[in-house]
Amino acid sequence: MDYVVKTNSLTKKIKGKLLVSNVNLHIKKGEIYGFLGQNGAGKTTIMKMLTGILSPTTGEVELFGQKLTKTEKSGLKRIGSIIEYPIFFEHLTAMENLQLHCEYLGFYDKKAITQALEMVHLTGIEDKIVSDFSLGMKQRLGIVRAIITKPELIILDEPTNGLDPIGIKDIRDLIRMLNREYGITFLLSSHILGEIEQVADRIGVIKDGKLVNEVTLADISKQRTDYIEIVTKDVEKSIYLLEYELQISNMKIVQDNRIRIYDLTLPQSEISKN
Amino acid sequence: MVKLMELEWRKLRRKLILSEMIIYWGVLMFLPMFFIKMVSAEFGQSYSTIIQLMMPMQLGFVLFGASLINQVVIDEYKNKTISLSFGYPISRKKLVMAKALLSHFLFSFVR
Repeated sequence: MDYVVKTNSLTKKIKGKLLVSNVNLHIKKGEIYGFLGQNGAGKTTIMKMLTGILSPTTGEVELFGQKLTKTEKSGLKRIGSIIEYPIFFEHLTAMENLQLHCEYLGFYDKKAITQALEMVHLTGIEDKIVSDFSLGMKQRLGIVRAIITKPELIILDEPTNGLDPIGIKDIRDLIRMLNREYGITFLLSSHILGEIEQVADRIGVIKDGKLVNEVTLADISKQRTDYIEIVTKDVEKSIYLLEYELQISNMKIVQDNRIRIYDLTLPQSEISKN
Repeated sequence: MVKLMELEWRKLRRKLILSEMIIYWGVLMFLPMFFIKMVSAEFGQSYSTIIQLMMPMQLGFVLFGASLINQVVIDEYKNKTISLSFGYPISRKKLVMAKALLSHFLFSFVR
């Protein structure tokens, strides 16, 4: 199997506190991988270790089949990233920031910058100073910077932070488009399930620095197909009953007089009694 | 390495540093003349008085060096842009070396 990112028992300890412990991550080529976890669960720390900003206490990171060490960082050339908050040289203009980024990566294509700016609908701001930007604009500019060099792996830490609903949709479409047309692998993170399940193919759940579960979305929807179907005369009344008397919320009205209940925590007899 | 230094230079607030340079130049070049010509003519006479003059000038250079290091190294940590540089496929030793060399270069340029 062709893995873009592989980590072997990745552990990070800071001042005796275990931030990330024993994470074995496998990201396949061409998929969108979503990190899900609470605030402070260690998503960002893992991402920082993948981009070489932090070095792991024990364990190792493998990018494109090559180990990432302090001296060997060539894998980073093929990665674009925003970690935590889009950081720029605030006193420089947007264009200068992007040019600096390109020069550091040894990428010389003048057209690519304008192309990338058009992709996220961010035009006419090239000569403005970054410190005048709003958070949403900075977020977009950060995404521009990540995609300019057409990397093979893009790491986005909470890409929809501070964006308006239209912006969120734009970014979602952009991620899907880049994934489909250029075959770029994505690693996203979020603490909102709904946001991730709309784009991700596979989800890694992180809790207290441990990778609890790695599942594909297809598996989840398969698990969720068991349901009880009820036929009633008065749909509204029975829904009210189900919601307030039995505290069931995961259900759906199909046709006019049928209700499907996906929440199977209560036994069937309990429902039929009411 | 020259390329890295150039990039490092492009990150800075160039206008600020250049104007700072000019001010230091002006003051430090003007002061000794002022002392020798205006305050007392004896200042140019003996070696020990020259040393006395040199002291504050040296201090001025040290101050300039300090503000350079602040802009080249400390500001970047403060604004967290350093994590950006560390995310590039260049070893940290080289990055820090480029910073040190650039500030040395600018410093010796003024002197």
